[in-house]
Amino acid sequence: MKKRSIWVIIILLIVVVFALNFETVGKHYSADNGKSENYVGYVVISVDANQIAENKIIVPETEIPISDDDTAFSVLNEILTEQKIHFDYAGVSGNSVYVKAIDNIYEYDYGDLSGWMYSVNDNFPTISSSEYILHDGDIVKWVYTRDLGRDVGDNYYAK
Amino acid sequence: MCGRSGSGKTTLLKLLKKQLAPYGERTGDIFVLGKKIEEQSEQESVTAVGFVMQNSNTSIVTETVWRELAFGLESLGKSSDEIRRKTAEISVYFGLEPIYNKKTEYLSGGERQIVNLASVMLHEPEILLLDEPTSRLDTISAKKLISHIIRLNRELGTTVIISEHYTDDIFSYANRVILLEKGKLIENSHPKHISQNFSEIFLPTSARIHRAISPNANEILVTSAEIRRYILDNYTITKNIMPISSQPEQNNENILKIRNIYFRYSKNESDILTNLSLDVKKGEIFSIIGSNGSGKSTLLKIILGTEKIYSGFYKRSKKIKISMLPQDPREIFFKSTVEEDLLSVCDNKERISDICEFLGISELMSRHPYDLSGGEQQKTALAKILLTSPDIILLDEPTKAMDFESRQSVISIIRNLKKSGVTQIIVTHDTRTASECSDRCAFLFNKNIVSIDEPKRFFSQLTYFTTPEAQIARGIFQNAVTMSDVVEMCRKNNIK
Amino acid sequence: MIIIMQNECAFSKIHPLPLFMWFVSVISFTVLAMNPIIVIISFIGAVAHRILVSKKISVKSIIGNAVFMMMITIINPLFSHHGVTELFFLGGLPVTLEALIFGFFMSIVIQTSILWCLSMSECMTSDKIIHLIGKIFPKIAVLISLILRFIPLMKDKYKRIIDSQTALGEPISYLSAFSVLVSIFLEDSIDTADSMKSRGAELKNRTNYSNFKFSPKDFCFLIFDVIICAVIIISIKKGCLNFSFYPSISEIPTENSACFSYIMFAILAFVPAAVEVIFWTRFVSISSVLNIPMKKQKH
Repeated sequence: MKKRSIWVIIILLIVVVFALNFETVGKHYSADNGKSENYVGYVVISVDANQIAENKIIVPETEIPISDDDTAFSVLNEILTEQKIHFDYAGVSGNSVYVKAIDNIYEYDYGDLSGWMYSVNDNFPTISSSEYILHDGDIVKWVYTRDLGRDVGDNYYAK
Repeated sequence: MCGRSGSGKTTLLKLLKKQLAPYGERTGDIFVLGKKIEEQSEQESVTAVGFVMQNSNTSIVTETVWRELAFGLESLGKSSDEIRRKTAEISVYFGLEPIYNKKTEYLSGGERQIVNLASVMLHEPEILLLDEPTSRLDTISAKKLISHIIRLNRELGTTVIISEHYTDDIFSYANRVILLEKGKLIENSHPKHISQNFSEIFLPTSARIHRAISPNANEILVTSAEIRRYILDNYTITKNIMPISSQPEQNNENILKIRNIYFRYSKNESDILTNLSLDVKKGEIFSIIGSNGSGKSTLLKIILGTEKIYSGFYKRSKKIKISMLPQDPREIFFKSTVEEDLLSVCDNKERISDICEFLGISELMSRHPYDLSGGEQQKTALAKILLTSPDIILLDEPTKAMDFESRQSVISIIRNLKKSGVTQIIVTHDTRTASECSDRCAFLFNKNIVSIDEPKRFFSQLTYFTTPEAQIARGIFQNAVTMSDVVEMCRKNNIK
Repeated sequence: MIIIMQNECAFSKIHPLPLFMWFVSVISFTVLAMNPIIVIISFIGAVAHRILVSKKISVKSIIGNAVFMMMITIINPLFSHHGVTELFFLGGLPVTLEALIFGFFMSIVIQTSILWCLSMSECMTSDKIIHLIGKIFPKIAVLISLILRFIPLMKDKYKRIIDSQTALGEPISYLSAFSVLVSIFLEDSIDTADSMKSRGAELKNRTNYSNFKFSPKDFCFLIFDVIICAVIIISIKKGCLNFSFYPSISEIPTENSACFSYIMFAILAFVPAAVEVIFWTRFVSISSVLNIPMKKQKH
């Protein structure tokens, strides 16, 4: 009997956790993300995968308002949610986040050196996108590289 | 080859085979088949001499019988066809056909030893060495093994050197008898011409009885038939009933009650014990006799509580403490010195030294348990058990592989323990031990107890599976089952 | 005396080499092909063989297997968010239909592999394994033999040690019991080493003996296996069997070349079960006609 009741407790816990995080598709993509109105500026964000195919733009250059705690990750999340584009990342927003896929284009899909990177004002930061706080006027570009960044302008790994 | 434990028999035998020779210094020469042992080629040293060890379980190397037989021939690089032919014929010779495909883990002790013998004989050695091959076997398997060895000697002309403690089965077939003492050869003669110096503990039972009743006789009577003939020819038998001493503990209450129990290890297997009932009285020494595999050890485990019966009634009060001395005493030790091990069950150092004195192991305190001889290990394990103050002690084959003096020592310990009120249940296939120290004996056969009685009555009622002394006294003296019984009865009667 | 009844596998009557290759082929293609038709065929073949060999279906095991498969099916979408059809969101990340279907697919693959491995372990007995290895490395065959010999012995001894120690009053920790086991084993192994040395284990040029001879029937199985494997491998290389789950589920390949491969694989997957059926029907008909009772082999 003891074994049975432990299993029941475990299953109940799982169900509760499940329920707390559950969102339907509709709700997730609704524009309500509780943003406050204290905007401190605008940034321009774009997402492209030009290294895969000619002119494969996923999000064209879009202006988006930011508040003072917005990061390169949070604006990406915002724009993709707004445009209802598939997004997969690992980690919790706030801690180090790692972007795994945008629009079902996954890291390593095009070789061991492929993945998603971001640049701010044409510089490729070395910190996680959820730690990079944006300022008014920044230009954020999310690009898909097939060569550890060397094909999109990041010379960090250049020989 | 005879000699006490530690007299050098094993060392001598091992020196005769290059691969087994112990490290150390040797002066003098050993010639095998005319060649110095150092000059033998690798292959010659393997095939010229065969060695069968005492412990059949550790000698077996592979997982099936046929592979074990093939092992030696594979080493010689023989082809599969030749190996197939040879293992087939030797299986027929030794009667191994029914177990040819059996896995070695399921073999009985006797079967294992025959497989070992066959495996060694596949090299066709001229010389066969056997180091106490029957000491761990029950009497019937021992006799079977000996009969195979004798056949080999008679039919193939193999030279056999066999060391044994109990020579009843083999003495009469020997061409020569050697006695070793403290590493020296003190006797080397034909069995019939043994000198008076030859210690009687190595003689067959008939010769020992003969020496006891006529100490000055020159000849050696080696078979039961000879000693029976001698007694009948030389004594007028008027008093032929051995008196049985009273047994006060039979009036005590039962300490264990077992009624109609059934046991099997798992649903798919057959029963090991069926409808078995047993009572054990407080303070008695109760022996259970039976052949190998009859379920004796299983019965002990049930009594101990580590196995559960599926039907029937086994009542034991929770206050009764039961301990078991296992067949392999090494299972009980887990520290690096005897002292530490004993301290792990009892804090009272005085009690420890008392018990060690009682058992005679006081000098062994600082030794590692595994460095002790078999008999010493047994006693140390017993000390550990006694320190836990059990009410019942179960002894699983306490006299296995022991020479005469160690066995007597164990028997006297068992008798002394009885005085302190401990109940003892002994499981053994050694009819002699059971006859000498029990208050009651039971015969376990075909999953049940077949008879229970006081030992003298018990063994004299049996004809085939009984003590050698009882076989000798059959029809001559009633209730004479030990050597002292037979000798006493002879002395009571007049010489013709 | 303990008598163990082993499930008899009719497929195991063929020589170890084609037997082993057959199982390896089936399992490899099941795991590597990533094609639902192949996997379903493999699954049916494995289940058929298992039922025919063990001759009983226990409800408990079916439920157990179903629960296992369901768990894998459900777990995959929780970790993989790949796919275009989003069903709902959990913790901000999408749970997609494709991930669910892939989870289901993988559960079948894993379950099928387990079933085939179970079949293989019943058909490939220890002496067959030793035969395969021993012909190339006789010394390793000895090693495997030793391991097979000593593991049951050690298990038994371990239980005895624990029993003996608990009987003293204080239950012993598993680690201590294990160290006692190792000490006893090391001591005994000196005797075993002596036994091996005295029978020539140190001599050079060891051969390996086994009872297995190659017959024409075995040769047929071998050739069949090689041909079928070649066909399927070529098929895979050419892309006839390509199937993907992400980002969206592709069409199941049904052209002639793909169908041909499916049929070839079906032969591979169903032969073990077919062999079992043929063996028993032939046996049953003869024995029932002659009124001979059927005996199971006791090992």
